Amino acid sequence: MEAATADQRLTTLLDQHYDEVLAYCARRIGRNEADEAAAEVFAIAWRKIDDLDWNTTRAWLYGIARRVLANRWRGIYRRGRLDRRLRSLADSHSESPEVVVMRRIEDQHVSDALGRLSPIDQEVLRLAAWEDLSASEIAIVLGIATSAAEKRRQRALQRLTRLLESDNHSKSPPRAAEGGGG
Amino acid sequence: MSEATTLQRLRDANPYPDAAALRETSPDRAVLLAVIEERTHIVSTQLAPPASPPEKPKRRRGLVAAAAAFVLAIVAIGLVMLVDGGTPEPVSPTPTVEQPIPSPTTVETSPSDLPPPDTSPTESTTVDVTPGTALDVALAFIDARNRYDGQALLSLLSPDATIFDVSQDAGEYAAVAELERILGFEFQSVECIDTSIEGLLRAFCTFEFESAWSRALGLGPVGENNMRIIVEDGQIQDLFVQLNFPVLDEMQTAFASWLLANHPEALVVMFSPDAEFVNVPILTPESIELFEQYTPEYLADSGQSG
Repeated sequence: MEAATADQRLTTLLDQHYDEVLAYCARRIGRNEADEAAAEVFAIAWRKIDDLDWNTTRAWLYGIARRVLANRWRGIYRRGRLDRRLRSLADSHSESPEVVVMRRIEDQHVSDALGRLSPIDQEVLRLAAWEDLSASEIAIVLGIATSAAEKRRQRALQRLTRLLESDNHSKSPPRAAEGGGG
Repeated sequence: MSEATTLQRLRDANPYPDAAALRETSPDRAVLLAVIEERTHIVSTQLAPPASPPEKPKRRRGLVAAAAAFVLAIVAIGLVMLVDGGTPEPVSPTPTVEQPIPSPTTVETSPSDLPPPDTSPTESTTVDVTPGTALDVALAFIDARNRYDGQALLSLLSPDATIFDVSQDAGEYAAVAELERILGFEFQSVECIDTSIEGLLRAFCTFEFESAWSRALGLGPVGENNMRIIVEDGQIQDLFVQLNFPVLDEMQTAFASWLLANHPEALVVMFSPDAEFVNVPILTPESIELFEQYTPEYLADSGQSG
């Protein structure tokens, strides 16, 4: 009975969150590695399913995914394949050339600035912007208090804003209209 | 620029904004569940209710590992068959995937059974592996790791094997054995299962480990590690060892910090800066010599020597 329940819970987890977890993995380590990483996440999740709080399922899965990816980053870095993976990831966009060019320039600015933040600040911002997690969910993923997650998110965003402003001043003519002041 | 604008620009830089779209190029559900099953089959035996199993798992008990002085421990550890009446039949995560799941083969070790890590060299052996048994290859590989037998490791690894591990080069495994001997690295509570499918000989193992670094921090056995292999022609063609990275990182950081405080000049010889999270041990003779020299000192400073 318990085993059947565990199976059902795994299936429920997959139905509700597989896409999100797969995307999270793809955003971090590239599409090619993402399927296997996501499978790893759910394998671990199934093992720990009795510990699961169904009110915080998504954040709980992201927390597992973060650890899985940390392990995989290590291997990918060691093999020197990260650059190739990220290049192939960038190449996978299928938009018009103009859009791709403009997006890449813009995205590159953001990515460069993001990369100059601390790893934890980067992660907080990605969780907020790419995964659309709330402060309380980010707190679960990172194992910190909600108030700390909110503060960290705010500070990281401020730092990134300053870096982007600094880049705008140093790399290109003033872009006064950008952002609309809002 | 406002922070809202920054957040929007960051959102726009999302390489995969549409999560659902990824599913189109993702394995179908049956394949996905089969993969998950492969990785959880051992655990699934623990999730199932303690019913009467139709087939009892084969277990091997004995001393393995760090005690390189006991070169013949491999003989002692194998082949002691235990009857484990409480291990239930594995379950499949879904009725749609009904692959027969073999029982895990367990190599049980207890830290209390083990003598202190030996620092003497071991005799080398060439492992005679029965062709076609991925499970045997996996166990032989772990046994060789625990005996710090570099030659045995070399004989088990295809020279062009694809490897995710402490080294990515099969030719470096004599050095890996040497480093692990110095660190007293032990694979413990090993559970392996044959996950072969037609045309592909595979095995999957979970294990705990201990080393000088974990002992220095008093961590005890570190869990949540696994190893996967693919075997061709009796040798490992694909090896993926995934350690509990957060804990490993904690251990390495502690040791590296100690080095920095006490022998800062050694750090760049012993570790190569790699990912943002980790430093990777260098496997050159110069590096190994420094590991040999400083590991006992580190343990002594940590109150863990002797």
